[in-house]
Amino acid sequence: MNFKNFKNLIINLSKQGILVFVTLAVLYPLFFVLITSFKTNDEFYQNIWLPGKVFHFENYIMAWIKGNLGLYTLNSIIVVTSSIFLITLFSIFAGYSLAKLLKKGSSTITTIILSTMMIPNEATIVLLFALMVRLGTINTRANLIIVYVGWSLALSTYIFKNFFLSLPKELSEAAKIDGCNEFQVFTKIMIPNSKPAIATVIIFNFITLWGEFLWALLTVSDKNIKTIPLGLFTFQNQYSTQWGPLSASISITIIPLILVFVYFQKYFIEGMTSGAIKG
Amino acid sequence: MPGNKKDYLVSYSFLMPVILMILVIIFIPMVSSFLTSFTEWNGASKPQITGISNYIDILLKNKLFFKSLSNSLKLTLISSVLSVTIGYFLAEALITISRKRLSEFYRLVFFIPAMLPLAVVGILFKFIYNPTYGLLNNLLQLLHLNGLTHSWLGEANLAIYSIIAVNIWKTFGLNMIIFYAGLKAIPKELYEAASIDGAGKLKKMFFISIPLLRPVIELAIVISTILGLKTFDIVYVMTGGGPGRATITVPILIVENSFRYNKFGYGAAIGMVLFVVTLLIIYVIRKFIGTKEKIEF
Amino acid sequence: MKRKCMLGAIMSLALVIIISFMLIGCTTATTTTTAASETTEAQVVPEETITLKFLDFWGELEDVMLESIAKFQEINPNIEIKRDVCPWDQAETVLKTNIAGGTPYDIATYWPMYMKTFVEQDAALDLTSAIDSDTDWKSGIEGLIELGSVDGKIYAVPFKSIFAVTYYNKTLFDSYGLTEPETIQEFEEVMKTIKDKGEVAPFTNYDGATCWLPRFMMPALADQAGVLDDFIAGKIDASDPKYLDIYKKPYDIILNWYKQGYLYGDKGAAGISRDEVKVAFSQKEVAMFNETTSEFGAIKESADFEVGVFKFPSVVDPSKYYFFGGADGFFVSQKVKNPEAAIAFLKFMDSPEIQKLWLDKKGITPVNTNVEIQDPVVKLFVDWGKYIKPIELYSLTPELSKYMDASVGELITGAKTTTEIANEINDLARQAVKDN
Repeated sequence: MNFKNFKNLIINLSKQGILVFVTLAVLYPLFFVLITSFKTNDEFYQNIWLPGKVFHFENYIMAWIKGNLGLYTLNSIIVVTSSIFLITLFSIFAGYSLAKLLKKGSSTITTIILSTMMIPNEATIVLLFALMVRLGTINTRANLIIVYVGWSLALSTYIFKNFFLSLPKELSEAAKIDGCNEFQVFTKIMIPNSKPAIATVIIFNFITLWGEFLWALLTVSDKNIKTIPLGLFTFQNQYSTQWGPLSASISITIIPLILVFVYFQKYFIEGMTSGAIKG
Repeated sequence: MPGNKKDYLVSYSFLMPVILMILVIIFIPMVSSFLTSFTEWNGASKPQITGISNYIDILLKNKLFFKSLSNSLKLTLISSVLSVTIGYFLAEALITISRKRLSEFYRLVFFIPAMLPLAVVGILFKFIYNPTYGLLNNLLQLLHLNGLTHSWLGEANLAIYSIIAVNIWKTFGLNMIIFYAGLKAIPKELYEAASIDGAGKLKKMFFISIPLLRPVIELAIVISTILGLKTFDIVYVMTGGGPGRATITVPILIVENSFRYNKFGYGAAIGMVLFVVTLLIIYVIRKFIGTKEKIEF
Repeated sequence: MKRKCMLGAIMSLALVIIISFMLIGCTTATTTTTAASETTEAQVVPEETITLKFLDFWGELEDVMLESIAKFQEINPNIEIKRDVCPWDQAETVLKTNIAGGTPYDIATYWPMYMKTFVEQDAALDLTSAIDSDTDWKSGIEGLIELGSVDGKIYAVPFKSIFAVTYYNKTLFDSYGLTEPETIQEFEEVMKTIKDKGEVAPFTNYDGATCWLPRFMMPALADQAGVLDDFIAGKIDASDPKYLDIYKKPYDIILNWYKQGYLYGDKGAAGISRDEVKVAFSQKEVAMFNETTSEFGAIKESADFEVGVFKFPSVVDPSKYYFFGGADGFFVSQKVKNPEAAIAFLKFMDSPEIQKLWLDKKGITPVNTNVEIQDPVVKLFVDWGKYIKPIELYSLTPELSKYMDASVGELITGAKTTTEIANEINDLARQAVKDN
């Protein structure tokens, strides 16, 4: 018994040690970005790792005004939230259908849907651009949303499918005995139980779309609908980088991500008390 | 079976929006890309049909293609395995933390790398890896491990692994979250029952968590593999394929051929070859670790 | 039921293929329509407002660019310049995607010496006659005009003079009693002295600039062998041992520097980024490095010691220098609806007034020789402009450029020997000559 306690203690300590180590490995770069955001370029060049003597808050003002971050953040929020709403809506239905409804062909359809993800964007982007030019959507928010939704659906559907597969059959069977039809089973039993998957899909798509750069660059030139990634390169040029304002921009743009993450984590994942069975 | 036709209708109508969107946004450009791959197209004038000569050139003559493919595979294999494993164990560790705030804090922190823009991560690690004033070498010197200092991105044999390390750093948080959500969804009663039967932590992990999480594990591995083979940005930002050609990946080769050499047909053909390779790998993965259509509880 | 499914599947597949074909054909279709409208519009409604789509990747110069555009529109109220910005390293992707999609930019900033890739696509407008017919414009930018020429026709005009020079830590040089080297031998002695003192690394180039070293040296060696013109055109055959050294010797020299430990970063000497080099120089980790003339101001500011600049030493004769590069500039799309308006903008940007504005506001070295200059360093740079060889072997084909970009990296990491690299360059050059 004593030995077992000792063993547990060791395991616990090493666990804590690893967690702290990973935390440091992750937090340091963020800390680096934060201190750089208060430095001038000269201070940065003379000592890149240490904080400067004075805190230069003007970097943030410059990022906000010259980088147009306020407007771009708003645009990003509009585009990304509408995309994610549509993605979640479409893919939760599709994932459910693939996991629980389709008797035959589900595996084939999943493979086909997944396979569309495997072609590198670099090989098709010119042709997608030509298609969108033909559809006349270039330089609109709709263009961004349509393409983002199209790109993200395959993976999101797959996430939902795999999640629904792991839900015990008894859940839906019990509801069916109570007289629910397929649609009711889905809305009343399945959706409330799929909060962790919804959280995963939202978080995953939020980080990919929030940082999406190439498509936005190619198709958006109107300042009023530009998104955040297009604002970041204002301070990065061929011959020089303005480190202070760039880091300030990064610090500002990370905040919405952290909020989204914390909220969905708390609400969707922590909110589940004892998992699916309870339903 | 009665109601069979109606079931079909419901299940397909559930699927329709996804199928339509994917058809337009991904499938049509993909098929055009496939058609382009049999032509010589400079991106402006009319494409000239050249049959399979692009493919012959890629597979038989292009030395860079196999170099880039092997880099892409290396990057994918190592980052997927490590990132999924690290993500899984961190999720296991976090789920046992009883203090809610602490667990929340760790999850947020571990997820931060996934939130940083890739360009930023690239610049950051260039400074960390710098041979003279870089943090990593300075840390090694501090620990009197001078023999281990390297020019992490400048040495041909090392550069790709340095990039892989960054890639893992960037992606493990996502896997951690996927697993954490999956573990949360497993009914506590199962573990309690196992405890009563006298099962230890390892046993619980191998006999409860892992089997139940199989769809989630498959998901994590498939995502990592597909994204790994498409890796472009992180390599582009950190080395641009250098030093020399040491870290070139397939997507970089595609961009180089299409946009730099005006060989859009050739670039499309490389994309198609990568597509087939990815398809094969995913097929194998799903065959070996994939979930059968039904899961026994 | 099953048959219906099959039929449906085949039908939809056919539809997809038809749409896909239409995408590839997209550009050709739009080409004809624009060509048709070009003649009619230009003739019928010359006074209507003309919009020119302009891609600008000099984001750091935004305010002075906007000021210039405003001034242009003051004089030409019927021309509207619609400016888009993009990061410089995405310029090629953005331009070519728009060309392929049938929505090309009318005017774009670009490096005149690398225009070949757009000429190949028939995407750049031939500016030769427009420049030839305008003596004011032509005489002002005479020296750099050839930069934008492909096969004897001019496709781009220079706007800011930019070429590579060597920056050094003058304070350090003074304390070691060193002077600016003029030949490679002197340069090597300087590096040896610095190396022996053991305080800082002697020399570095950022990863994208490692190829500058052979580009500096090769033309000098070719000139010494009496085949400069043939060399530039890719016409010398290095399998002739007489000429092999033109390609090989620069790499032998660099390899020797590397082996002597003169290069910063040691084993990773070919993998240092541009930002890293600037930090290393400011923090006194390295004594000398190559950068473009445009960076003088920024480099001087970021260092707390005196910064000097010299011409990269000559490999054969101290009186002869061979600079490459030359300028950033503009080109016009071949599909532009109003070529006159676009050309008017280019000419306006090259006018002494605007060139002076950019010099005064941002310290940009002008390409127009009619601009009066006070700053001694800018004067020096303008004077050094005479060493620029506008046409370079490097820009013969994009494949050759890409190979030379990577060549020093391959040399230093031991992936290729000097002879292998020389042969590879020879092959690519010969291939380019054959294709033409």
